[in-house]
Parts: sequence; structure tokens; C-alpha cells
Amino acid sequence: MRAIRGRVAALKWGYFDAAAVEGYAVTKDADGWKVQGALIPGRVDAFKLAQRPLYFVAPFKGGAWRWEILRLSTLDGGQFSATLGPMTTEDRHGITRPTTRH
Amino acid sequence: MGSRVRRPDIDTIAISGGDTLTVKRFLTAAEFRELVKASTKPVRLNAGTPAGDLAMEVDPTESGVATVLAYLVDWTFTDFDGRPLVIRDQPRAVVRGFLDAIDAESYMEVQRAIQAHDTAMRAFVDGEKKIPPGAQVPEPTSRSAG
Repeated sequence: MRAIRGRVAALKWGYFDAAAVEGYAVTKDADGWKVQGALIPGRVDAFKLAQRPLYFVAPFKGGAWRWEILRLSTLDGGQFSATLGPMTTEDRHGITRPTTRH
Repeated sequence: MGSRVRRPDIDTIAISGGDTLTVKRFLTAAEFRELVKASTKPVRLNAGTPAGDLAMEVDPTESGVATVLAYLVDWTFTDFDGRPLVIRDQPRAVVRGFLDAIDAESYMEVQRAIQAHDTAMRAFVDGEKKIPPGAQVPEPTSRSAG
């Protein structure tokens, strides 16, 4: 299993932040990519979170990793988990390309 | 009645030098309120009246940049070493800082392009209101490059 852990990320609907994430772990196993993390209270937009497609976007220096959210579960206490589609890598200008980390 | 919510579509506007601007196609109500708020300044109606007698008027120096900040999502601008001036997903103050740092001619080109986009989108919305219920709504057209 491979994992990506980070502090800052977002659940995005288009260019909107549907929710801000503080602390996450993305893992990949035989079933595909999954993420677990915590949403920041006060920075969750229920309307935008209900829209589709939603993406989990985790920035890194010079770009971001992006996955489409296939199924999203939010829990009491601000925790969330989601199953994700294939990973794409996004450059500074938001241009995405498939990654070899599929 | 159709949906009162719009998808977060973006348009790309080609400007000089091969650069492009990525802009929101439409603003939400919250973004519009922020635009109005940032475009106005309080003025006292009459000297000597109580402090509550204030009115709002358009601030011509801020309304242009407020429109730019409302719509601008990204651009292809770089610094002198070719490094991208990153504005995507950055706080408003960071984007404002870059807008203040670019040369005046470039800024005015950005502002004119985005104001033209705003005008085109407002005209599209006005046109939508004249379409009879049930009729097909055409796609908006901006000075978009893609």
C-alpha cells in the first residue's frame, strides 16, 4: 500500500472550495485510491459539497495532486473519507495530466 | 423555472504576448456582493450631520480592480526569470499584490479584458431573461480562447 500524507488540501467543485481540509492521508491498495481526513469547521459549504463532480486536491510545491471523488462520507466531528478515481497531477496553472502513479 | 444556480465554468481570454487569463464565467451572489462592497466607499452627506448620515458611492480607483479580483482565476504571467506568478487558489491579498506589482500597461490590459467579459456575461444574462419558458438557452460567448 502506498500513502500520501499532508496537512492542507481541499474538496473542490470547479474552482470553488467546497470544504477546506486540515490533515489527510491518501492511500492506494488493490481497490484503488482512498482518502481520510478532517474538514475545517466554518470552511465547509454544504451546497457546494453536495454538487458533483467533486475533487480532492492536495497541493505540493509547484502543483497539486487531484482525484475525482467517487463516494464521499462525512462523519460527526468533521472527519471525512472518500473513495477516489485516478490521480492526476496539476501544474501551477491548473492544467492536469495523468500520472504514472495510477 | 430553470435553475438559479450556475456551474463554476471558466473561460480563457487571450491577451497580448501569447498570455491568457482564466476567468469565472459568472459570479455568484456572494462574489457579486463582494464586488459591490469592494467597489464603493462611504461618503458623508453633509458636514456637521450625525455620524450615521453616510452614503456609499462608487470608488473609481477600486471598482476596476474589484472586478478583476472577482473574476480572475488564473493567468500565465511570469516574472523576469520566467517563474510563474502563482495566483490560482491564492488568498485575495496575494492576488491583489501581484496585480499591484505588474506594470501599469499590463494591468490595464487585464482590467479591460475582464471588464469586457463582465459586460458580455451581463448581456447574456439579460438576454436569458427574455427567452420564453421552455425555450433552449444558448451558450454564452465571451472573448474566450477556449
